[in-house]
This record gives sequence, C-alpha cells and structure tokens, in this order.
Amino acid sequence: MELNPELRRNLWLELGPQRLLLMPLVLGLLFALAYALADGVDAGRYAVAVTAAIAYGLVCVLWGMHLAGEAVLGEVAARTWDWQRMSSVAPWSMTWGKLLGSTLYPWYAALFCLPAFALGVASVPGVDLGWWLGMLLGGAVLAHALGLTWSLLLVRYRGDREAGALQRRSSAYLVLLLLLLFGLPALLDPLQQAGSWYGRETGSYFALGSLLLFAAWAVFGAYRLMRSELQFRNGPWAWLGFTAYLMGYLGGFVDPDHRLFACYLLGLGLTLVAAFAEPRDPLGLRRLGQALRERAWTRAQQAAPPWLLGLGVSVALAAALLLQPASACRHALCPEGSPDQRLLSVLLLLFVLRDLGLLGLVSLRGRSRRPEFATVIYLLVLYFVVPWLLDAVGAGQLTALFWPRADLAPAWAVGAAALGPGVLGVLLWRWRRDPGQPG
Amino acid sequence: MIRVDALTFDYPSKRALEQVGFALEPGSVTALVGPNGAGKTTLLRCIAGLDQPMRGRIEVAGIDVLEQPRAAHRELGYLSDFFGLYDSLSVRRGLDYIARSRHADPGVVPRVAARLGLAEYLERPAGVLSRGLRQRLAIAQAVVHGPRVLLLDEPASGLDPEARIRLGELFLELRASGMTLLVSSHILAELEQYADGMLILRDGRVLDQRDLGRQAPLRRLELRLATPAEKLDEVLAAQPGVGALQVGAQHAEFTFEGDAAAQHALLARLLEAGFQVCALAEQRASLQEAYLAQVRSDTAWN
Repeated sequence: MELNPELRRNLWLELGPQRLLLMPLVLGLLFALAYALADGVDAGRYAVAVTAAIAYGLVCVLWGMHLAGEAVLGEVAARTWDWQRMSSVAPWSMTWGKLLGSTLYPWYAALFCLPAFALGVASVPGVDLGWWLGMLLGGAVLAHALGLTWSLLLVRYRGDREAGALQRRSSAYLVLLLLLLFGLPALLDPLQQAGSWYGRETGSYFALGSLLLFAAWAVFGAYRLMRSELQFRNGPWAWLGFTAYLMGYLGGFVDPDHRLFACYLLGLGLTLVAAFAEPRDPLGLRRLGQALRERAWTRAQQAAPPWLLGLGVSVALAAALLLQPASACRHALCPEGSPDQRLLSVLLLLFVLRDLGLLGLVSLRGRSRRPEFATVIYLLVLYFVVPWLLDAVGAGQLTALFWPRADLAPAWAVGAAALGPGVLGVLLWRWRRDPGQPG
Repeated sequence: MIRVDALTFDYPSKRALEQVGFALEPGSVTALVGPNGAGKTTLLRCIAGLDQPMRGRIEVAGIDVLEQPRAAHRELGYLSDFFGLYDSLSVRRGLDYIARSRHADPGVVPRVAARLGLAEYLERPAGVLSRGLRQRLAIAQAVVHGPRVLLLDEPASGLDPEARIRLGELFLELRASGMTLLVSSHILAELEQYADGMLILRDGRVLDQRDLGRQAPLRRLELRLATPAEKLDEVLAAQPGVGALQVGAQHAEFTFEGDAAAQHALLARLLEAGFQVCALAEQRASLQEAYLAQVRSDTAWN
C-alpha cells in the first residue's frame, strides 16, 4: 500500500537519526533525575510518573498542538500551500497525514512518556491506568486537531490571505492555549464528579467519553475545512450536526424546563462564535444571494456561512419559545418577577443581530487590521460602559438601547433593541451600494 | 486548450476582473501582459482553480475548472509569482513528494530533473540552490505530473540575463513537447523569445489578444536598396500581395500576403526590374512595440 505522501514527507523531515537519539536521551535523563531526587522506591516511581505526565503534556499535547497548527500555517508562510492545494491527495488523507505527520516527533516522545507514566503509577492503589491513558491520548488528539482546525480557519482569510492568516497566528495560539489549559479542565473536572445527564449519573468514564467525542468532532472539523481548502464543496450539514450534537450534549445537564431556552442561548452563542471565527466574506454572501435568485438550492446550501446557519437555528428556536405558553422568566438576565421569558428571547435575538451587524460593518469597511478585536472593544463599550453611564446620569430607561431589558415595558424594550440592528442594517446596505464610502 | 468566458472576479472592495474572455490554442505560448494591478495574477489563479470567481466559465483541456477543479488540476501546472520550496528536502525528495501527491509515478523524477537541468543537484537541499536553479526546481515541480497546460506568473523575475535566456529555451522545449503555456511577465523583451501570442489585460479587462505572427499569412516586410531608385512605390504597389506601403528612396515597408515562395518570387521580380536589393526581410513588430501601441490606442480612446 502507498504511504500517505504527507506522512512520508514528514517522516523525512522529522525523524532524522540525531533527533531519534536526542529525545530518549533527554527524557531518560529527566526521569532518572526525578527518580534520584525522590525519597524511596515508591516515591521515585511516582515522581517518574508525574514527570512523564508533565513531559507528555508539554511535548505531546502543547508542542504537538503548535506543530499541527504550523502544518498549514507554516506552508502558507513558506508559500508552499498552493502546491498542496493543487495536489491530488484526498482531503481525509491530507488531514490525517498532516495531523499525524506534523506531530510525529511529539508522538515519538509519547512512546517514552506513556510507558514511564504507566510503570510509575502501576503500584499506586486506586489509579485506573486505562482511564488515564485514554485521557492522555484523547487530550493530545483533541489538542492536535484543534491546532489544525484553527489554522485551517485562519487561512480562510482571503484577499491578503497569507498576511491575514499569519497576522492572526500568534493570537490564535494564545486562545488555543488558554482553551486547553483552562477550558478543558473546567469542562472535564465537573464531569468526573457524580452529576446528572438526562437523569443518568456522570463520572470519570463519562468525562473520558466526552473528551473522545469532542476529539472526534475536532478531527471531523479539520477534515471539513481541509475539504474546503482542497476545492471540495461543503454542505451545511456538518455544522448543523455539530450544533445539534452540542445542544443535545449540553442540554442533558440542564433542567428540562429550561432546556429549550438553554439550546437557544447555545444557538446564539455558536452563531457569534462562527461569525467571529470565520472571515466575513461579502463575496460568499453575494454568491448565496445569486444562488437563491437562481433557485440553485444546492449551491445556496454550499454558500451559506455557518453563522447564518446558526442564526437560522436560533430563529427557529426563538419561534419555538414564542409558541410556548407565557411563563415567568427564571434566568439570571431577568430580574425577580419578570413577566415572560419570551420577551427575553426576542431581545437577545435583536442584540445578536446588532452584534453581527457591527462585526460585519467593522470588517467590511476594512479600516481595522483586526476587525474581530475592534468589534469586541466596541461591544464592551456598548454593553457595559454606556449603560453604566446612562444609569449614572439617571437615564436608566435608555439602557434598553444597549442591553436586553426584559424588565421594562415590552414595546419600549423591543423597540429600543430593534434600533441597533436597524441602524446597522441601513449602514451595511449603504456600504453594499458603495463600498468606497464611509459606513 | 484554455477557454475563458465572461470571467468576473471581485475582491471585497474592488473588481479585479471584468467579463474577461479569450481562448488559447493547444501548443501555444501566450504572453500575459499588462500594468501592475491589471489582474494578471488573479486571472492565473482563477484558471488554476485556486480562487473562485464571482461569475464566468473557465475550461482547461475540456474540463470545467469551476465545477471540477480537482480534475482540472491533473491537467494543470501552476507556478506562482512568489513560490516556495521545501528547503529542507533534497531536490529528489521534493520532486518525489510532489509527484506522489499528484498521483504521478515517482519514477519520472530523474527524467524530469534531467530535462530541467537539475540532474546533478538531485541530492542537494533545495534551500542551498541558486535563484535560477530554484526557479527550475519550481518549474519541475509544476510539470512533474505531466500537465498539458502550464501557467507561470512572473517566472523570470529576479533571474540574471543568462538564466532568463535558458528559461526561454526551456519554455520552447515544453511547447515542443505539446504543452500550452500562459506566461505573465513585465519583461516584454524576454517574452518575445518564446511567445507566439499576446494577451493584454488592463484594469481587469482584456484589451487585446493577438497572434504575434509566427504563422500569420499577413506579414510585414522591409525592403532596402543599395542605391536610390525612382518609381519604387509604383512597382511595389503593382506586385501581388503587397499592401499598406510606406516608401522612401532606398527603403520601403509594406504588408505582404504570401508564403516564403511568394516572397522569393517578389524578390526575383524586383531584381529583374533592376532594383539593387540588398535586403528583403520580415519585420516582426517587437512585443514591446505591439503592447505599447495597443495601450496607447486604448488610452487615446479613453
């Protein structure tokens, strides 16, 4: 069988004789040092296990994530990405070739770290080695797949494709690092405690299963983005499927009475995440418009950006919430005794529309090098600073223009919330007519 | 071999190509010329299936590039203006990788390397090669899978004159093997060495597409006499195939419709008529002159 060309290239680059010798030598010295510094055989073995786990986390997980990201961004920087985009390698082969190929050396380190860890904890009572190995391996696959997915998202910044992708590179790694260091433990730690998921108890194996499923989704995400880079057309189903999975998964932790509303919040959140993560491509929207006018439904599905799909799902969920009987609002956003959670649903949708409009306008006007960061700053001012100032000068009613106020009269709250998306809609329409004029 | 119809490409705040249309014959070398920002690179990237236009149709070797970009890639080689190489890999391994990734037999690598003059550098890392050799390696990577169409964006930039001449010879070899080449360049004198057609782009539109006269039936001839002669204009005007005369006492330029034999017959008749002919030769308008003439006429109209 023919070896994956991408893997073969990485084998040539990554596993030279010097590097093959160096890694076990360094790790061996580290483990020996840890053992020697510990007090006694058992403590020594435990110290080796801890050292191996830390080395694995640093080398295989974190460095591996960086290398997986560089598997695409490095090609863009070296201007070799076009060679690969024109290759005949299938998207799946390219995805796993890059995932495994770029991280060969960290996996080589794992060959020493994992046995050292296993040997170290073998005699520790109560340690479930299988679970630990599953978490360590799953964590590395998740980190590598996230690195690759993230970098494939970055190269979608068109026009100044290379520059755009590379400018965002460092901040992207920072976000990924924070996600891994804080987000993952924050998600997995509570899962290991006894809790309830659709009425069933969660525990350590639930956490392991969750991690492995998210790793699989991350690999699938990288594959879908790779398809797009290699000129295959993607339909909307993968993103919709991921949205449904996430709603189903997280919905399991929520009280049944609040499940629909929680799914709605998640839908809005994913809409914003997708809008911020992907480049704002007016040409894609024009293609979508053209496909809709020509009633070319398949093309329209392929041209629909994920944020628009998320918005569609959110609107559908908002409609479902509106059809529910009026019930007291019991969410943090509603003050005690608020009349109706349906009002809050409408307000949230309007504010998300405003945020999307603002992001679109800041991006399309092209005056900001980092439109995502500029928009976040504007949103912080609009959501927090302005309402605080209005409150301070006794104009609390006006805060409904900047913050969802479900406690005010519905007509005023909705009217005020609709003003933002209305104004931004007009500005975007003006920009569309004349991209040169100031928005 | 390449057919482009009504191609329109937009950048977010600028239209880069507007209703571009042209067709290129198999086995031709066409110079793609135009000022900076004319849309040359965008056009090449669209033909290569690397960027998606807003509207239009592109066909390469009968394959719709926009519908089947992957199938078109099998027939296409593309060298970008700022290409990169796998500097840590040897020339052999770099070519081997590209061949395998394009589902070509890696056994062709030594042959392709020899054809591109890289045989003696096969074991050297790409990173240590000179600019000219890197250019050759990049072209080798673009043709290692045996494409029928080769697109080159500013292939000679940064090369010394000798390397440019060798590059031109290489393009002629590739054309002789049946390949169709579309080459963008700013250096018109260099394109003249190998181009037999010219496509002028300006402000995202095709200003002109012309045959540079290798097989054109209507040619421009220049006649020089050793001594001044009267009635040269009358005699020439009476000759079959002669038109658009510009005549001086010892010198004449005119269009001539006829092959080499007809040209020989014309020469014989002039000698017979007593004209002391010292030269009768085809005058090929230089690419630069043709380009500038077209651009000037377009500017005058605008």
